[in-house]
Amino acid sequence: MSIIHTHNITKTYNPDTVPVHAINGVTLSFNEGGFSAIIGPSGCGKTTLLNMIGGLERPTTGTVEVNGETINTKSKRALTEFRLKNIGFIFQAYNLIPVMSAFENTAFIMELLGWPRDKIKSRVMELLEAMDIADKAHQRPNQLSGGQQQRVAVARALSTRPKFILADEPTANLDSHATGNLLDMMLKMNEREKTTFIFSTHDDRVMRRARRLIKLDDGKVVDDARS
Amino acid sequence: MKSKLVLAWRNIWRNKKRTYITLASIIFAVIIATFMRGLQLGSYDKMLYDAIRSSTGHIALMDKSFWDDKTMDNSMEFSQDLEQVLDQDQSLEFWVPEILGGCLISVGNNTRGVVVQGVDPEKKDAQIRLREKVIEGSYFESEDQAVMLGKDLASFLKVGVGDTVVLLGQGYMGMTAAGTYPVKGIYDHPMADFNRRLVFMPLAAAQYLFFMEDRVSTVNLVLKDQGDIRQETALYRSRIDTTTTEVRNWESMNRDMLSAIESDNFFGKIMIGVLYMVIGFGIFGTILMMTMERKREFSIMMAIGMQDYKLITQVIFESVFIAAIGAIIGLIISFPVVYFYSLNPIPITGENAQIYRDLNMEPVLSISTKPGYMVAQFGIVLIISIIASIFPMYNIMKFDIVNIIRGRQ
Repeated sequence: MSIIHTHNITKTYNPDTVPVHAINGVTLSFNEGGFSAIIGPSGCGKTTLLNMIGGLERPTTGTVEVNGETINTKSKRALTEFRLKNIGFIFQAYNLIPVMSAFENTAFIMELLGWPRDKIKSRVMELLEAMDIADKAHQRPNQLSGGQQQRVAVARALSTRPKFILADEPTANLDSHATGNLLDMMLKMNEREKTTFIFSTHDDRVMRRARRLIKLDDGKVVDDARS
Repeated sequence: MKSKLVLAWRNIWRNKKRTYITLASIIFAVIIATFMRGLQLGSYDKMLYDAIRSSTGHIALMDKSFWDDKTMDNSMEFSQDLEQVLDQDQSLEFWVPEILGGCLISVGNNTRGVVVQGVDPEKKDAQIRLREKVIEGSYFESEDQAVMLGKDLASFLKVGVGDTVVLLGQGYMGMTAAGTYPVKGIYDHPMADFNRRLVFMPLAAAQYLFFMEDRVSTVNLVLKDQGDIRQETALYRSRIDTTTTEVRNWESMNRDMLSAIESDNFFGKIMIGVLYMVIGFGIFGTILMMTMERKREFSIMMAIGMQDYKLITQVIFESVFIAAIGAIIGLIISFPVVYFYSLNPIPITGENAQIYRDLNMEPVLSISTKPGYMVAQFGIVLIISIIASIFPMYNIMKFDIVNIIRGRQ
């Protein structure tokens, strides 16, 4: 069942001066429980497409629908609320909050949603154990390796069981061992919790594990292959 | 709330040196402001306290015309009934009936215009502690037919204890008031006018001199608690003949002093305002830096679902936290110093002391320990910290989170 649908979306930066067409009429659907990767060379529009799907950017034209609801017409505040309740984000540079421990970073979104303390505690420990970093729960990001930090970021993204996870180059700063571990973890969560994963990447290791590869070039979908 | 406070606490210590410098500036400002303000308010309190205790009282009973025309003819009847009411009034610390009369005092070829105060010696001592200021001779008693002179006046007249002075003036209903009186004591009062122009004599002797049997110029009432002033005013209005006599409160009798205080207070507030403005820019700089150096972190938080108003609350918490810590430490350091100097007023010496005496003020710098102005310093610093957060808050609301996350801003 399709949970995300983009209909002929475009994104043009600087429309009044020197227009840059980052996305040119992309129509895509993503099914629940998918494990998809958007690939292509640098500057082809992968991150822009991911941002529009996640409600971080609005398309210049076209619509983005999630669960049948058009999100690109929502107000700034409503979009923030939408992201909080529906999407998990994983960024290239981990982007954990440096003054919070691994436990607190993982709990952050649940606290924003006002979950009760005992529920947060059990969910955080469940995730950190699944990510194999439960023993690092009380360490701050600067005490963790890059791979461990990215696992905390994944745990944070998964914490509230969002409908889908958007991961922008999640393995770009990781060595092959850490990348393999992280992909194993994400696949495990994808199978166990039926969470939809959409990556933007040009990492072969990610492409090999993805079940769908969407290739972009100059802001257009040039290939959409499923395995 | 608890997690917000914990986060704010951790955030302000991300850059320890910067936080220490900001705290030091706030602490320094609070100490200076507390001390400056304490001295200012303490001086006002001292001026009013001296004026109320040594002169007007909190409440004064007098003839309706006396305040505008201080002559013997505008004196009031001092009945035994009124005296009884005053004696039984538990709200009074003390009360002083007085006769005030202008006279010439003369010894040999030396003559000077003076104010003769006819007073009850014990009540006057309770009022201005005159007994302990006697430097020659002894303190006068109510049955005496003698006078007490200030040391400057005695020096001018070239008289000592036991010498006789002549008083000549106008009494009640135009009668000539004249008499010779021995000098019983010479006092040294810190206020210049007391030493130069005041002659004390017992109330009965003054009533005889000025032909004012059963009459006084004023009855000055000093209350135990200034808060009782309204009910005491009402009480005495009900006990006197208000067609001829009035009840005045200390504010109406010290208007010039109050307006001088008001204008001085205004300039004092401006000085403190300038000090706090400088500190405000320091806090502003710190909060702005704390916000801008975390704009990527803030953008990530907003991307994953944190509303901007929650981030703004967080920034305000951090700003208020720094300000509150600085203000509390500043007050903790200030209080013992302020308290010490409130118990031990700073004496003013030399020419400056003379200036104070010439203004009829005791030459000391008093400092106030009223909690109100100290709490106000705390409140001012908190308000400044919130104001200093406005621009950083505005910045957060304007964050372009996509470009910040992608490192383009």
